[in-house]
Amino acid sequence: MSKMLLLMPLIAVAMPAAAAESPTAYLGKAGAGDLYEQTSSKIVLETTRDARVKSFATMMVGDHGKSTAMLKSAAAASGVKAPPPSLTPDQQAKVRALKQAKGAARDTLYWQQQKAAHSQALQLHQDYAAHGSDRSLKDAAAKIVPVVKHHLDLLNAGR
Amino acid sequence: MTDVHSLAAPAAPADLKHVSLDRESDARYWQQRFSTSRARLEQAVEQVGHNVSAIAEFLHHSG
Repeated sequence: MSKMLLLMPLIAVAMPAAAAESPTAYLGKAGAGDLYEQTSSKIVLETTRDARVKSFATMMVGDHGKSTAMLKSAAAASGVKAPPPSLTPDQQAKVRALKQAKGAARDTLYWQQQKAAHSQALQLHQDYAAHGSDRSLKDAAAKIVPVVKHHLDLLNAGR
Repeated sequence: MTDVHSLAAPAAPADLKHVSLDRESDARYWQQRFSTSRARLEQAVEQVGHNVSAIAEFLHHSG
């Protein structure tokens, strides 16, 4: 009995840190992120004359649509309900600023915003892939990580 | 503890817009990027060339 009591703190230490979001919170943040990526990319696609911005933004619309679809089917498989995605106040402010920027300044602002958003997204999906509690969502997160990583690599390589 | 082994990402290829399978680490990067097998990637390159967007499009529609 005393041996058991001594072992218990060791077991607690060996458990992964419970740092990940709940399935619903993860879905909410991931959905908002995808929606923001698609919304801002569509705005820049209306005006950009920069070939790199155009090809990156086109990729964003496609890839973030796919990740939303992947998460939706993972959520359905696990029976996790998530409200329809909506932009956070911060994301709404960024979309407003992007709409107000004109010409090449819009391209520059878009690129900066994308870097920040993708760093946050990478953290979110990596954390869930490593520590999340729902198996299907965890698998989906692990598939989304390399996609977001590639986007970030492209952003850091510059326009 | 912040990462698990299966998530360890291969280093990014020098060219991020063209899919090249010549180097093993590049091939692993693109396999993870598109959640696909080496064979499917080879097939995609053969069909549509090396452009990332074209490969994405091909993999999306064929499967």
